[in-house]
Amino acid sequence: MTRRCCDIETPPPITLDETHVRVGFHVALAGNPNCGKTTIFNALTGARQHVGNWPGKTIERKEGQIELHGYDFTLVDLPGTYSLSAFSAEEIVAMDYLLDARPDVVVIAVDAGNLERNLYLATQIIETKLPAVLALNMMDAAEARGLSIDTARLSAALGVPVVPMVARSGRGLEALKAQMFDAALNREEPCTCGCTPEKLVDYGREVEREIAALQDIARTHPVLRHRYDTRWLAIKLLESDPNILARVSALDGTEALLDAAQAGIRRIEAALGDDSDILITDRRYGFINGLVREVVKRPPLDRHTRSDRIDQVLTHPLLGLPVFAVMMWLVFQMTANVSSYYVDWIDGVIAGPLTRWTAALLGSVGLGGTWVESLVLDGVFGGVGGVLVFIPVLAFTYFFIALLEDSGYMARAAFLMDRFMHWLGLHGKSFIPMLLGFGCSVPGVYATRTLENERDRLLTGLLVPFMSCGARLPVYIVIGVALFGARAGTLVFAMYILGIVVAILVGLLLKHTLFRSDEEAPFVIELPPYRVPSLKSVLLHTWERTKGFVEHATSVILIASIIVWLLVSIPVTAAGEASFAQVDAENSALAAVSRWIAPAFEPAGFGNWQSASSLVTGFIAKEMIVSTLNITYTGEAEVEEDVATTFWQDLGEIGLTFVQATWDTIRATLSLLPGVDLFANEPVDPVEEAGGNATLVATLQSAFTPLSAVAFTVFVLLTAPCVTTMAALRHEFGTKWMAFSVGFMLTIAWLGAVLVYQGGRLLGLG
Amino acid sequence: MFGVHRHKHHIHADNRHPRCEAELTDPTGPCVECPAGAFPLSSAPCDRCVRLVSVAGGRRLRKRLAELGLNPGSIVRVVQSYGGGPLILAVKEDTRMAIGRGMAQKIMVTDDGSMEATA
Repeated sequence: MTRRCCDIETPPPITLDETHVRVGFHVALAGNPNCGKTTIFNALTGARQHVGNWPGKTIERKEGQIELHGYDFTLVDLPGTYSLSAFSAEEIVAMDYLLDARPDVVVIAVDAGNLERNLYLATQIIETKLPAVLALNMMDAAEARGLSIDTARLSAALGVPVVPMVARSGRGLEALKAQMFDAALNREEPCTCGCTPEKLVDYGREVEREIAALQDIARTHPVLRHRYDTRWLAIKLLESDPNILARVSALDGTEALLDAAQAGIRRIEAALGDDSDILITDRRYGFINGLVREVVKRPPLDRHTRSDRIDQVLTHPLLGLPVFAVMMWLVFQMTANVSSYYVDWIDGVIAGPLTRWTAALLGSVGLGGTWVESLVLDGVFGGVGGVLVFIPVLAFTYFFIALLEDSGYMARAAFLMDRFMHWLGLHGKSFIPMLLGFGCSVPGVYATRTLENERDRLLTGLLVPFMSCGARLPVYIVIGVALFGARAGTLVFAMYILGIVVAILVGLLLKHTLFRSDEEAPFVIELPPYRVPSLKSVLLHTWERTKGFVEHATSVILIASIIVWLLVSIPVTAAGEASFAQVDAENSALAAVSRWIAPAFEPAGFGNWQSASSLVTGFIAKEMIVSTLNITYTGEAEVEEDVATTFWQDLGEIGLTFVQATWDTIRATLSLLPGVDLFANEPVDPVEEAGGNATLVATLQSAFTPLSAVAFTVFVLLTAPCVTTMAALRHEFGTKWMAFSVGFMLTIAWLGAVLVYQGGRLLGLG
Repeated sequence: MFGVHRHKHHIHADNRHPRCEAELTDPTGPCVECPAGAFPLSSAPCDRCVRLVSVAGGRRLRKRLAELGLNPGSIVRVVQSYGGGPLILAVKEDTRMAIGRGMAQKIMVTDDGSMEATA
């Protein structure tokens, strides 16, 4: 088919056929960070979405489904970016998706109150000539500031439909859907010759001359002229965009085009005295500036917005810090302590009624007391329980992180912490994942999602497990009380500090080796206006993420629990006397494996099988270290008292304890407020916490010297994260980085423990 | 039109300039060391509109800043600037952007004559 405007062949316009009814349409959602893109996505798709990663990247990819007039639309949320210039992994992902998947419609989300900067990305996308719709979001906030926007004129100037909307309240949502539908169905394949439609931005005489020359060459190329809009391609070549240069040079017969682009850049720079890519950016902004002046009417004095006034306190170097400290304390308390009532409830339900019912059920089919019972009760319940108890912790974490993000405070927190975190080669936003790591590494790892940059996210995720989590505390306390008595507190404190110091050193090491970037990324944080968070969006976010954790973590944790169960159950040495699943710890496969591992810890001073086996079970959960030490050293396990109850009593108890947990949560939440003391302080006795087990204390005193005990706690602090954290790392960063983290931490832990023990001996402390 | 300043002599050791606490009635005069009245953004006083002249840095950094709205010729207002900490800028009027002081020292600006017009 030949178009009238030019004499080159263009592919025929897409006609609706059965394929489209079956496969549906693809819609990409693009936009700046902080423009309410996620809210638009949620408003369009509701809970029908799937959160995952872009292939091979740790960048979040969200996909959702909607149905419009009988057609299926798949909505893909592109990473939030400021431009399409291959500056970050996020930008490359977004650009590759637009160029390779060629979505049927691109919805460009734009913050109406921040139009000028937001239109930069919008013009770049419109220049690709993909069918686009501009969603002018957050109109309410812009109107509240007195801005009025002439959307008709904006639409005419940009050549795309413009939909004013407020995604949070649903205003304009139907109009957006209608425009999306129209753009997808009435789509006409754009003419690739560049003759029509007219150019969006006039780049000036010199640049335009080169664009035209490059278009002439590109038009003769059999592949390029169909694959890209030639004007857009010419602009990208003159900007020396590395992604586009790589794409073009991968094709045959493009040498002439690339040479011409180089010559063109030289001519532009000679004539205008500045880099051609910066000139192009400059002209694009020039066009946008003129456009915004034309379409936006603002009140005469709009200097200090409400956000600016709030920021006079919240980002003040002195006044801002107490607010920051209170915020962080609240988030930490809520995730680490207040969530514990629900954790205990889940724990209680699994260990109590659920275990009793299952045991009764298995007993009724004649499996009581067999290895099957042991597998289900110890292996499977242990694993599933291990996943379930994290649900309250993660739900609370996601809830508060979403609250901080949605309100705009997260950017201020990053701003305040940046100077400190920057020193570690990290972004200010890394502070929150690290802080959460002191409660539990799992929410810490997941909190890295708030970081916009892939490199920062990964580096933070690798450092989070070095923060001493709550589950490691009982180990320090038991060992500390046994060997240092009243000075146990010093050991605990030293471990927390050591974790931070090692994280700093590792951060610096990784920053200068694996994560070295050629050029320092500019420290720029956008401070979005403060907003009241939308509960719907926060809850949806919490639900999606918590669900994602359960889906991803269950298999890994279940498998690990069953492996450890097998190790504990298989009799090895005393085969004649013991049977499967009924074996003393000393004679189990766990002991055999531990005896084999133990010599590796000889240089660290704790080369006995008991410590080694506690480290093996510590992979499942760090709190198992203490109970394993108990079992292997004293041969005793904690015996749960068995009370005969009926099914209905149990059911009543589950309900009652849930109400109790909710009440305790509310009480604990309220008692976080100053002046409210509903929460009677329950002092925790460390020896009590250690189980009050005099036998264990005595045995530990004979098994460890003070020096080897310190080496052991150092190892526990630094060693590979528990299996749930591993699952979280795998979920977020992939198997390769999880394996790296485990190997890396094991090495550091071993080196640290050996260094402490051998160093101590040299100093005559052993 | 805008020269590319890559020389480091723009970076002033002394940047005690910002006086956020005080009401600014007297605009800070241009720096004597720099040509054509240019001074580093880090020395710009609060609430003052300045015009960006150049960025001392690599091509990639300059391109990035330009895309974020810190392109030569654009008008920037310092919203907050304390001691050695980062600055908060009003870029393209509506965007609030925090940038590190180190970076602000590499950005040269001049007093913008039309400052009241953008208010």
